[in-house]
Amino acid sequence: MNNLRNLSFIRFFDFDLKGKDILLCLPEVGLAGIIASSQIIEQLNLREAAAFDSDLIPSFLVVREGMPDYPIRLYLNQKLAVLISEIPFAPKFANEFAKEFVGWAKEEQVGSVIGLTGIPSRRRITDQDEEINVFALASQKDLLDLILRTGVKAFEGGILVGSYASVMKHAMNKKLRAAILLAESYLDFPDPGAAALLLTVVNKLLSLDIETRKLVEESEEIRLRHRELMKRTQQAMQQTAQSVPSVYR
Amino acid sequence: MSEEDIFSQIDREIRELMEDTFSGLYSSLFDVEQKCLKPLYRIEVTDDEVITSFDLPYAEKESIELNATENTLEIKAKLRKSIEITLGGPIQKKAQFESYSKRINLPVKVNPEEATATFRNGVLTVRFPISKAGKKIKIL
Repeated sequence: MNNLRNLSFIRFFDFDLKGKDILLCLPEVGLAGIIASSQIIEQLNLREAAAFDSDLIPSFLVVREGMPDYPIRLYLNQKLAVLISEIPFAPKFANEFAKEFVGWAKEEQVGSVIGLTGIPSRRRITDQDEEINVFALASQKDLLDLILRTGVKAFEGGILVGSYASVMKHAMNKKLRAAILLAESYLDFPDPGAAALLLTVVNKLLSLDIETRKLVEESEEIRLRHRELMKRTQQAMQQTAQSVPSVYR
Repeated sequence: MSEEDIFSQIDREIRELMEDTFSGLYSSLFDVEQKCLKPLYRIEVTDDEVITSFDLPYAEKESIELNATENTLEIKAKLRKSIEITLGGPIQKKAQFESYSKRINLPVKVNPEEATATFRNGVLTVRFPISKAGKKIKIL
């Protein structure tokens, strides 16, 4: 067990992350990253390999049929890893997590960390038939160029707050290759459409073949199943918004 | 008056945490007795409008009923089919749901007669112009 200051990393078996990309999927805008991650984990049959735990989050276990599991888990195969969280991060924990996670990723010599999330878009409500976009930002220019070649747009200007912003900040501090992909989505309704768009970009970037059909066909079912997580995430996002002084918004 | 001993205190805190975790959130999303779901929703206020949106997967558009006053909005809708949801907890129980129902308070006074509503991709949006009642102030 690696023991980081506020975060502990619990390895279930030996594995090597050197040179591999980690997809980071935390509950945030539209739960886009979370919904995308479940397709990746399921379709690639990724193995649950490790978990993160911290005293800074309430003791929260996910229990299924009598077996408990950690809420923050790492899944992987030979090619890549996916880190998900079933609990949204309050601002204070988000920063601590980001700091320790990036330090850990550097030590493990991962190839890069790619965050998948949504960006709230009014158009999602007003112009629902319009095509939505994915935006990208990256800590290093060559990584950004690689991502832009998939057809996404650069996040041209604005402010980023929340869990992913914290990760990017610490990635910059520690010179870790990191990027964030943001699909236009509903702010606080689960958005399988945005998740599907993220997957098409991930497919191009990492030469994968994840099918998005299920997200379209079972869109209503997915939205229904994610209501509770979305509600908790809504509360965490409100805390994040409140924690940013209005002069910065 | 005796002070709560440490064990009773821990017991109470655990109970409150369980209630928050299991019923606070649930009671804002489910009404098991009435077989209705309370939808996720959002209220936004701009300079001229209050925009409310509701996530209504599986709702039947023709069954949506909206009722508004100057400061409340009530929505009801039937589900296209009865849905069974397993509610988590130590013992999982399956519950049937047949409709959505929600009543919200609007943060500012609106003109309900001029409201407009759209239902697209399962999201209901109801927009209200903000009531501009007021008295003119003369500058002397």
